[in-house]
Amino acid sequence: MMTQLRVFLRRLSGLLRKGDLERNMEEELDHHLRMETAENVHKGMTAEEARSAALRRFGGVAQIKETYRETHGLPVFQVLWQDVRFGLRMLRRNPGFSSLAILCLTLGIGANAAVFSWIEGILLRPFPLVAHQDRMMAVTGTNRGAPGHTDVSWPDFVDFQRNCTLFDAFIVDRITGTTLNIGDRAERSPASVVSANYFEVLGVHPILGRGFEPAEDFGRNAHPVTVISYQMWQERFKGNPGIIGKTQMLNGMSHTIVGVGPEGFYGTFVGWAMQFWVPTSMQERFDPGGYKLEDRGARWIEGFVRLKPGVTPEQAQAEISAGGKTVGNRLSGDQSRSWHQIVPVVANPFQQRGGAASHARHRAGSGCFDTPHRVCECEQSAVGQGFRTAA
Amino acid sequence: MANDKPDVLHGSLVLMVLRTLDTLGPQHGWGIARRIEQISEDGLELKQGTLYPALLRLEQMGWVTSKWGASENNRRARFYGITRAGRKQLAAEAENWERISGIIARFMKPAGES
Repeated sequence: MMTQLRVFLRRLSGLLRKGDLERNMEEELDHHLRMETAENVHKGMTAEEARSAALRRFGGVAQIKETYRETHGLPVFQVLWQDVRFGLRMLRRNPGFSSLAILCLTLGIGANAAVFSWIEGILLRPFPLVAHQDRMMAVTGTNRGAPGHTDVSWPDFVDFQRNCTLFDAFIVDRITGTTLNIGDRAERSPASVVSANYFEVLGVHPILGRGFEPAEDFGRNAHPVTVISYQMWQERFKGNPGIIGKTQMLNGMSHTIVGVGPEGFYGTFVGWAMQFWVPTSMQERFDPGGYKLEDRGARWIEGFVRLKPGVTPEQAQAEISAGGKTVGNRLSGDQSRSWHQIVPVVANPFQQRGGAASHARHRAGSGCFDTPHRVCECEQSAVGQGFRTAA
Repeated sequence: MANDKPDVLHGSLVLMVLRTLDTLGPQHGWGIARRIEQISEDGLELKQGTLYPALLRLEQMGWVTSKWGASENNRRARFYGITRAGRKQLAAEAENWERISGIIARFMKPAGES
């Protein structure tokens, strides 16, 4: 092992001293032939005979030199380098063909990269800066007897969080916004109402201040605090380093700025660049239609889950189904006709991805949530994509 | 005629070179070649040139070192000497050689003799 390493290093240094090699090799071989020739002359040959006898005895000089060179350096690298130079020479010789080939490659690679980054952005890792997106899924509700999907209610969500063990975390996210004055004009700023664990679960750390605290999920409009985006911090507050603790009017209520998000984090709605976030307790202020945090029938939030490593979507679905039954035990009336499903983030029917998402949905074969009828089929066939919250 | 002479196996060339340097002290390439020819009484088909890549390899292995010096014809020549690692290698290869040639020799005994 040591010997191999030493040989490698010597050959590597041999590569760098090629000039020495040629000169020394010439001199050494020349010396040899002279000695041999001299001896042949001594034996009584003519100078000419002596020289050719010496050459015969020596073997093919050119061949020996080649073997010597190969032993001296690292032939693989040298041959590779020769190939590269040969390639470049050929490219120079046929400039027309070369530029055509280069153009084709450029376009091809460029198109590939563009498509891939689009696919990555839409389908694979739609949310910049969010950790473990491969294990993220969306939770949706479905109503029996009615097409399409619903959101999830806050009490259902709290129950899931309490009862399910196969998930790292549940988070909720409701798209909202406010109108802010920018100088003498007004601008609509998109925002999200999120569960207090949002930043922590996503692995997104505010660069100033903090994310939300667990208590900030609870109490009707009790926690007027906000985490603002990096973009808002820069544009509206000119990157003021003392921004934490300052207040900002949002939807008619003064909010304390408790954190600034990292650059490049825009929330968890594809196509939206969220400007600020408020905790769940502020729902009534930001989500029209009254106070919903204690109403199991009010399905107003989108849920995300992150599966524990190694948990399959089917297992997760099964547990949500089982957990759903305990949730359902406390339900009454027509809410007992509701179901929950977890779907890949890419297939989330509420994210603004129209065609791309529905194609992906069909490709993935998880057509279970297209109609309630099919949800039933899925449950019966134990695919586990559809389930009820009601017992 | 030359075809009757056995080719020199690479391994045995290494052994012969190391042994030569061990016995005679530092030698230039031609000296080593002549020594091998003398000892083998010209019984080997050895192209002298093949010695040089072999010497280079031995040097890379750290078994010989080389130094430029003045030769008997007053020209610059490269002199090779055995190193301590080379002596260890020589001992190992010599032992190996003896063992193998002993085995082969037993195979070649006339049948029924043992």
